[in-house]
Amino acid sequence: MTVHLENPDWGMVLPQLIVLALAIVVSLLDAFLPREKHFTVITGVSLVGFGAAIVALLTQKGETGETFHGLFRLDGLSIFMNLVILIAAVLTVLISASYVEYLDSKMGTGEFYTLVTFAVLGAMLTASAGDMIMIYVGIELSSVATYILTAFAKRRGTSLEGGLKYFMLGLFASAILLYGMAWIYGSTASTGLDAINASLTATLSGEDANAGMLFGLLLVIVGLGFKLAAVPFHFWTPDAYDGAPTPVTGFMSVVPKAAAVAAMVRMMVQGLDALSDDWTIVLAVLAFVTMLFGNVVAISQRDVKRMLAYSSIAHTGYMLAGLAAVQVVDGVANERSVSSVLYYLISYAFMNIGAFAVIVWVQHRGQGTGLDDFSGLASRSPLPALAMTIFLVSLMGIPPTIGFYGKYYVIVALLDANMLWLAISIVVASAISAYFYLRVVAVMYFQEKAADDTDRTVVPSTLLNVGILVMVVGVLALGLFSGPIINLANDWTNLFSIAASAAGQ
Amino acid sequence: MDLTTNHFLFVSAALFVIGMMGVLTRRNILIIFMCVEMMVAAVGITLVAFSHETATINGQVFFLFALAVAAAESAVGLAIVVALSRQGRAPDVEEMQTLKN
Amino acid sequence: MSWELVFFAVFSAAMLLCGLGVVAFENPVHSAVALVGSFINVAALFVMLGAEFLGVLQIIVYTGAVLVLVLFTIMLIDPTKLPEFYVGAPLQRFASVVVGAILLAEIGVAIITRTALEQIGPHTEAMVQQMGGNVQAIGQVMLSEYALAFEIASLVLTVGVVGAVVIGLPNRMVEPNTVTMSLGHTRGSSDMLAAGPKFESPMNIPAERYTAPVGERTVVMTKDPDAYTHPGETSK
Repeated sequence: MTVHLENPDWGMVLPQLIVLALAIVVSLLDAFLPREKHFTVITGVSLVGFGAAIVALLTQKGETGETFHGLFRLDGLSIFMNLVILIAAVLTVLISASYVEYLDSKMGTGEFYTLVTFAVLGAMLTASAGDMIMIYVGIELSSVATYILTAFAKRRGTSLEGGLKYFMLGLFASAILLYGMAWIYGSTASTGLDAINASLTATLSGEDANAGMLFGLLLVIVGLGFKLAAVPFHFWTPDAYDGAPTPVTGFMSVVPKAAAVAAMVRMMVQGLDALSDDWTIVLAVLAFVTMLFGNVVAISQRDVKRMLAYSSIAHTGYMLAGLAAVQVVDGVANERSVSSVLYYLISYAFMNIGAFAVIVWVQHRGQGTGLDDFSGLASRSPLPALAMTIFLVSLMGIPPTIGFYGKYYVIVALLDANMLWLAISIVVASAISAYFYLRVVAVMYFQEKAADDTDRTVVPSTLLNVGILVMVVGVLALGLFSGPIINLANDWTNLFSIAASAAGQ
Repeated sequence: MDLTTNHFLFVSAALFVIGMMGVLTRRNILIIFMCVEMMVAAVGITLVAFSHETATINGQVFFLFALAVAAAESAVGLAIVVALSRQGRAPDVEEMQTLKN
Repeated sequence: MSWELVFFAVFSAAMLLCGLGVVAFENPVHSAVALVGSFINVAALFVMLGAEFLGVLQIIVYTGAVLVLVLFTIMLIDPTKLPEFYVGAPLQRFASVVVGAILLAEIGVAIITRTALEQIGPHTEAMVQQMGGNVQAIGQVMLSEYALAFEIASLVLTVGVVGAVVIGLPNRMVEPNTVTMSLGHTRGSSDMLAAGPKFESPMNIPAERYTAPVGERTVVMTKDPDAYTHPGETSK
């Protein structure tokens, strides 16, 4: 047997290569640059690097193909997901720069950005994976880096405890995911997603699926459910989100979640779509439980950071609902479903990182993250209060903002798939969520702070202010121009199916 | 009675469930960690058994990657454990405030 | 009844017993030793399945490296200082045992009712022999077909190293007004002298614990920055 060595198409992996180079450069800069230059140089290099990766990604628009023996896929899904992940990375750099430098026991800037970059790289590779092994390794790269980031403020016990909890349950989830993948491999004799799909459609002609296959499917959903923080598997979320440094909380609520969503789409829609009758119902139930539980428990939280942790669980529910609407009728997928999830992710990236950014801003003023720390914010500093209001309104899903359109497209996809009950439960869950989101707004505008804290010293936060501004503009503008973006997502997901059929031949 | 793949799958499932029970019932972090490692090893038996059954070596390669990843994760996890124990019993925020004021 | 079956029964029984030991022992050291026993038997099962390379790796990587790391950790730390970690209340723990039993039964059903695939792949025993053995076969597939995954696994290991250093190293910022110098903490010296802007931490730790006032610095040589307490500071 001869060894097949293929010269890979390096052009396809250019954005990932740029991000990898960035990680290496940042870690070297951290080692060799004088300490006082870390802040400006490393932050600048990170922003430039992620920007260059976005540019490289945009030049790939419309291209499809696969390389590295099918391990790496370039298609509409991978480009859109990578774009979302890179945007989230840029926003994270903007909001974490001054926090890392001055707050929370003064964390190491270089190591911080190295780990952020590796987490982003892992998520990007998961989104472009064409093989179960790639999905596993990519998701682990992004998870391991995020475990460390969660425990990064190591002088603070809560940070370490959150990191440990996240680590242990993440490891547990990986083992379950791995077991599921092993069963899928055992039932199809291959690890490639297209090969799995082909083998499934060949053996499944009218018969019930192999029991081993279904068992593997269930385990994969459980494993990815842990990574996504879907409800029966969410225990780690509140403590990990609460304990992590606030910019990391924003980051980990978007990037590893995007990686898990990407893995879910790849595994389910690309690999196992012949079984969609079985998994859509599981995802629908998970989505229902997740969105209701997240919103109901968030009501009782007195800490804004913890409340947003529960609200991010609820948002996982909305994304899963969008995914559950993939109903394959006569081999035709509901294309609106995947694109609605993609649109939801991009809207979630802007509004959720935005909300955490305002918490970071408040922490820069020497305050904590409790509800009381937000009281009277509007009279002291009206602009951040306004920004927070916009983000919360968007998370709630009120019309001019991007969050409304995110939910709107998910609901449209659900109606296409005849899942009226899930669409209604999204509306109900949003109504519940209005209570705790609006409570923060009310506290900011109508409550006076008992103690006077105006004499607190202030940390410089230019980049943070820029970041908040960018996200406010994003939340409003991307909402107003949602049409072109959803069309883009639709186009690019069409490319996903074209590439899939071309590769299947 | 011959030795079949199913024998190995049964044994692997039993080890996996034992590890899972350990994760869900024990309270000592290090024992939980060891139980997860045991689950990964159980998955290894499944992968290798399937690899043997289907005559594809991919399953063994898959477990090789899982092994590498698990090794990296154990370094991170044990570092967190050491850092936590170095802190003493980790105080929460309120406790810290009362101590300092 | 073949010898193969006897060996299988012995190895798997020993593996499961040791596995139960890991879960049941109170002392983490005993659990770790039981885990070694379990892993050696896992390696034996690998060899029975024709995966000699993985069998060897299982012993070298898991038993040799990871478990030694665990044992070192147990020796390094004071186990009583670790926060206990639990998922749920006793009732939930009982429920989890029930769930486990159900899961095991489900897996059993899945194993019995699954449709087994024949030897459809290229790596039959004869073919593997022709390639030069198990190691060669794995190497050829891993470094050609899965080359990208191999590279990413190396990145995961890199992240693991970075993480272990970031979190495991003793704190660099040791005490205010103190510059710590010691072997292995080379960066401790000049960093401290650059006083950052004054601020108050979000956790209400007094500012003087964070920033050193300019002009009142002392240099202390110590081997263990964590154990060191500056005169005048309350002990940690």
